[in-house]
Amino acid sequence: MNLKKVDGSPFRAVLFLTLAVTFGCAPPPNSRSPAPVVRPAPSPEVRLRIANEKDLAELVTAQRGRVVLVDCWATWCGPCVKQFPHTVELHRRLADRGLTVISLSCDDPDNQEAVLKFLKRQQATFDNLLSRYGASEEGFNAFNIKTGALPYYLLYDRQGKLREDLGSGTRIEGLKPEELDKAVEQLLAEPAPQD
Amino acid sequence: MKRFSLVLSLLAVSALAVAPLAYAAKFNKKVEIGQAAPDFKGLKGTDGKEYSLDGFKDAKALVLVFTCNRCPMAVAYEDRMIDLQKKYGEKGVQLLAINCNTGEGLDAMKERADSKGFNFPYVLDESQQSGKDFGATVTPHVFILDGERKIAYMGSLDDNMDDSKVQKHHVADALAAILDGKAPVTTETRQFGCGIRYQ
Repeated sequence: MNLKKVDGSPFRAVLFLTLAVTFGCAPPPNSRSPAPVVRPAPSPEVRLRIANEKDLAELVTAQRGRVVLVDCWATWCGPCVKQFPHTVELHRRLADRGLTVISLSCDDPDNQEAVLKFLKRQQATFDNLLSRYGASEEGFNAFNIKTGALPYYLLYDRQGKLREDLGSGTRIEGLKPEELDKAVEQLLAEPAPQD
Repeated sequence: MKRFSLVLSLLAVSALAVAPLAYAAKFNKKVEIGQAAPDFKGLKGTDGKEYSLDGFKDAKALVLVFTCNRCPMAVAYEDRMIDLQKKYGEKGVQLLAINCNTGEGLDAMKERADSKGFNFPYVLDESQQSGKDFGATVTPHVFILDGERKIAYMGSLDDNMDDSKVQKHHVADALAAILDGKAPVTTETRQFGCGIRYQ
């Protein structure tokens, strides 16, 4: 659109456009039943930050009183990608009952864009960490992923104590989601610390 | 009092005597450093030949790599395996890649070996027995057998999936030591990759 064609003055053109935008789509001023404005709740942003084992420990400590599930995963790990929606579902279903979910990606920090893209698609609206060590021996050691294989789940009780570490191990059937659910439910049923 | 001290000393000595002297593996539940390698026989290679442990008598060191076609971590290490064979093959080292995963099959393995140009045998162990006997838990999982076919090193090939970020070349360092007639400084590291699933 060439603004000068409206009436030759750019100021008037801006005024015209402003009025058009302000009132152009609004209901008529004397309409008897204006349509209620329904604004969707803003969806929480999905964020990702690079972290080491100290950052994870601090995050877990800050959740004292809640059960914490850490899903250690990677975009290059097929079973992890397959099971990730289940982790998101656990967060949605059990956050109100005291479950905090944290994801820890063992991808290389150079791939953080791909990781974030995946997390956004999954609507992973919890704390998402990316191991600063990437997919390395140092990373598996730092986060104590004992089996050296993903997915691997760390489960902390309401006192902040690591109670379970669950991985597929070398079982043919892998780790069943029901096993994870059961472990989470058991810790949720335990009382919160008194102090 | 003297008698009491004597009893204590005897107790201490007997405690030492029953303490396990062998090196206890940190990341392997099945085998230990220094023990004789578990035997394997008749594993079919993608080249149509059959391979057994006693078929590598001339090798100064044998590098077994439990690997597979599909695991991205194992795939990330394929070029490094080729490079190792290239570099250490002329010094008398032989690499053998063993696939004991289910559902991949020799045809798919042959395709992989051909397309990548593997310069080492790639064998299938449908029984999964070799993996079980060595306590292999992930792909890739490496075991170096020295000239006497004792386990001299086990764990990861190096310390990073991304080869541009590797800082510790575990297998290359261990091979250099063995070829020099010495024991490797690092004998065991944490293996990492995709879990091998056993029937």
